[in-house]
Amino acid sequence: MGRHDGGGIMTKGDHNSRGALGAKKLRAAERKEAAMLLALTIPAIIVVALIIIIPVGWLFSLSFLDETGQFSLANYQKMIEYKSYLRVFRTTFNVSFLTTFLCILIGYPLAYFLSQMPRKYVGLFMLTVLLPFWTSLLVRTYAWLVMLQRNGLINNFAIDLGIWDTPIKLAHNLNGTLIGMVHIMLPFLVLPLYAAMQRIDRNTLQAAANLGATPIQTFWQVFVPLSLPGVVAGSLIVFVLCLGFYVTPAVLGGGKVIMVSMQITAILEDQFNWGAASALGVVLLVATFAVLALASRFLKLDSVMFGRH
Amino acid sequence: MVPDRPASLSISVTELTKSYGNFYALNAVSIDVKAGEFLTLLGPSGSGKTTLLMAIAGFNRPDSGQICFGDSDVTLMPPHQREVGMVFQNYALFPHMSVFENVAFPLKLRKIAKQEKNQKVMDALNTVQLSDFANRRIDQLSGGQRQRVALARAFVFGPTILLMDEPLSALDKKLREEMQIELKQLHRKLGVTTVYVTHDQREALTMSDRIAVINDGEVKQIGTPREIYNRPANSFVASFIGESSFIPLVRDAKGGLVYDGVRIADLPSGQSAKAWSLVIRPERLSMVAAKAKIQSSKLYFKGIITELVYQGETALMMMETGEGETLIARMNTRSGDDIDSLAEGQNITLSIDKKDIIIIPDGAT
Repeated sequence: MGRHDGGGIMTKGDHNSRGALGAKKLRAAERKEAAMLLALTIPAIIVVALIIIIPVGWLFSLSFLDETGQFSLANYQKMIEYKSYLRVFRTTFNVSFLTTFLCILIGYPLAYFLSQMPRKYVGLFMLTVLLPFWTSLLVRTYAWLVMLQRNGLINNFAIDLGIWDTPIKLAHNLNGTLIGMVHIMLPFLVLPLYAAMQRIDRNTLQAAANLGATPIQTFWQVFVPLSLPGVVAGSLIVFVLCLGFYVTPAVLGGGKVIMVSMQITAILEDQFNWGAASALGVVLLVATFAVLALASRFLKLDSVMFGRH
Repeated sequence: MVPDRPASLSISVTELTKSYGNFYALNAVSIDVKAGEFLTLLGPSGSGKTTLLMAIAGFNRPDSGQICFGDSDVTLMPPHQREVGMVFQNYALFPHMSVFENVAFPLKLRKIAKQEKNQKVMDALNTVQLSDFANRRIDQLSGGQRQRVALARAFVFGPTILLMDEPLSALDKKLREEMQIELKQLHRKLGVTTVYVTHDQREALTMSDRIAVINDGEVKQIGTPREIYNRPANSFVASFIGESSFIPLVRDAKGGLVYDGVRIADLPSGQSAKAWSLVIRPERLSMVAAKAKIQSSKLYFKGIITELVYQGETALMMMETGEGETLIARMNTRSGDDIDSLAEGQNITLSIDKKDIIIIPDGAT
């Protein structure tokens, strides 16, 4: 009996040590797996570091240097002192906000239309949204210039038809800038919005009707609230892209709409002042981050609200 | 509360047809649901039962036929005017609203004053035992709780008809069985005409006043659970509901139906079918002891046990008769029944009371 007991204890001990060994091995295997995954992401990390972190860091440091290469806050001081800088920022945010607003105004019905049509036709109509998206930005901007300018297609056509008598100023001002930017930004709003609308459970709309909601009530009380995450996501993309826009306001604004990116170019071309240009870039970057941070609070709210984490 | 509105309305569906291309989802279906009745549409997937429910709710427009609630024709009435409560298969709750707001939604649309509205919502949530969850978001609820919210939302505005599209199919077995009883109690309490869609025959038998068995867009039989189970009208109903053994019968010269030389029944009158089958429910068969006396009120089958499966409260036995037919029998596993002494390959005699046999025309559906 004693022998038996002893044997039992020995086996138990044996099991224990084998168990510990097994756990150790498992942990090692797990660590190895994690290391492998990390190794796979290293190329991407290097690329991101090379093309984003280093140039941005360099820009950041340049903005704190004066022309002689000494540390100074002069570049930022200038931005506060000169009203023109403030005006440029105000214009940038105004144009971005207006563009986003107009995109929602035009894009929401478009995305709704796409989400409601039979699936077999969606591809065709989606093509009309995507085709301009695939065309060069520069080509599209100059095409708008041809359409909008004083003796352009639209003015000539309207005057020939007698809709208006004298040419309307459509290009070389805010009108032209907005028309061009809305046209270019629309797909960035429509695509995420369409995706969000597709995800809405048709049964919830049927349920609303079943509970007594007219089609209009169903649309406003169920469909629109459920599509809001798509609106937020789409307008955020549009707004942030607008903040850094250059080509379209430069060509269609006719020098009357000066955005931050254009101001940066001007400083570099006229004064060759890298420090001042960098400071503008840094402020724009910080402002963009601020917008994103503000919006992400709403987005998080949404993801909690709709159970998508 | 509108005093002159009835608590429930009858539904009458007449010759309803709905086709998608060449496929007839509904083929001249006629069903009458009495006011206050719990009627189940039972059928396999693709049988047309959901199409019929959606037509009653107003979500699809039939090609021909008529739907009436009480005396009023609602065939062309849009869904939001029908005053019909519906529980969807996936519940279709509004994810952007709280439990309270979901249930209050139909009352808000009816512009019911705030105090009365709150009272009604809380009453409805009490009825489904969710009054503590009023402020929860939908994604904080379990499947069973969501099901209850959907239910409360469907009856809170006092509809005269309640429709349910497989409302329990997403729940696990135990919860489903609890909810079946609860739904039945709720129906008794509300007294509202209920049309319930399911593909689960046990659920249909448990809950319904009457069952309409549907297949290929047609009503195969309509009747009480007992009628459907004990007197299936055709082979589809007999095989879809419960377990059955089918044994082909032969007509003899004297107008009787015969199996293995034994006259089973008289030829049913008024039926033109050429061939007939004997349908035997497994639990109606019993084992016959070797020395037992033959009784004239019973039919006997001799054969060899080919399969014996122990399933807890019952055991399933397959027996091959001398004629090569297979009979399925279900035995109680109480110790007295001696099921333990049986083995595959053993000879056995089974008997069934003549009252329990079912004769159905072959090929007819």
